[in-house]
Amino acid sequence: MTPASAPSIWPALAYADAPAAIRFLVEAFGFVETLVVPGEGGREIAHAELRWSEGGGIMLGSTSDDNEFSRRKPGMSSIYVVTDAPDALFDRATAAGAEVVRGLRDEDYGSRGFTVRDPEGNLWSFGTYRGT
Amino acid sequence: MDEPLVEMVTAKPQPQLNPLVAGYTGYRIEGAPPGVHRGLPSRCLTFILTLSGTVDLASMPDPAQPPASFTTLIGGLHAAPTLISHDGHQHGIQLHLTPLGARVLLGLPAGELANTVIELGTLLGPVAGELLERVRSASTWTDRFGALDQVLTKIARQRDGPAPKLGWAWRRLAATHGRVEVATLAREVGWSRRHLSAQFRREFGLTPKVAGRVMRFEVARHLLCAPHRPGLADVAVRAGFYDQAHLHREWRELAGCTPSWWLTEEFPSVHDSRLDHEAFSTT
Repeated sequence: MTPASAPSIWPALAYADAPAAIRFLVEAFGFVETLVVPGEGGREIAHAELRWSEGGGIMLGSTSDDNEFSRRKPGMSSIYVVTDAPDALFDRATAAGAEVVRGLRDEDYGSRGFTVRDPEGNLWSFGTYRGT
Repeated sequence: MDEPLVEMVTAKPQPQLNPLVAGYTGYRIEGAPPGVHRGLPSRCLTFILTLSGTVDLASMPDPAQPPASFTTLIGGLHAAPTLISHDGHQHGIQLHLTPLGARVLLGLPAGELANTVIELGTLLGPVAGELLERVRSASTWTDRFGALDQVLTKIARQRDGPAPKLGWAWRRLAATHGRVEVATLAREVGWSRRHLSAQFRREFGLTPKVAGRVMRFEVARHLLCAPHRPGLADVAVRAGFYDQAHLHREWRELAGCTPSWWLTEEFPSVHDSRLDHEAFSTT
């Protein structure tokens, strides 16, 4: 189990190619899969949960005609993730092919971080700022 | 980084495989203290593909079988703990195979594997190697489970399931989580109690009485693993035991230890937690 207690807010994403998205999120960022529920037919993912080692997690599923959530256009989300190791994470993400939107930098509000785009267009920002 | 790494992921197979495999559990533990893990009895057969290392069985369900190490293994239903010694590293996938799954995927009744553990290749031949290679070369759990779905769908054959009355008796027992009396079950299928017990045991490997005990034990274990764990007295009642003393006796017999000891020593442990409620409602 991850040391962090269960999160009470879960960003929920839709991906056209969910297995590829999971591969990317695991390899580029180090997310850890905790639950995978396949959908009907083929390799479509009905629901998957991925945890972030420093706390929290995301849920995602394949786009489809199923319901209001799965019909959402993929690639429109922006998510901020807290990390104490932005430099190492930047190296890992770029080595795995993440497209850099904003390079590693120090912000005037005291955070150090960066922003990359995942293969379907979502923006992922990582930084040391933990919120007030 | 002295904290051991514990990764565990649960998944359901594709819907058409659901009656055959109740679920997948992927696990990876690194840097834990060496120790002994208890493989506990359940209503599913044990099917393990290691991703690295081996599963080292220090004691078999049948004491006559010598200790052995496995890269892949399949084990029948059992009513005593299996002891697995590890060096703090455990990495693999466990498939929760149903008795119907044994028929359809392995081509034999679960009863033929009762109290036995063997390499998967003994039953599946080259497919065992293909399964291992596919899951080992994938980089995410999602892809590994997807590969399992593909290979299992490929090897599933139209084969006879258990005899209808036996299949019905198993489902009835499972649906009530072991709470239906064997005499009632026998009356319902229209067989003598003795005939039902013999036929049931031949098919599944346990008598209906013992299978019912294993199912109640499983419910108790599931309650003990729940995020908001009820007290032991409550667990006992909810799992269908007379009282806490009864729960303890059954744990000593089926797990070789008390529930409190198990919780302290083993929880959370990879082979035993996080099964969905759904996993309990299968064939």
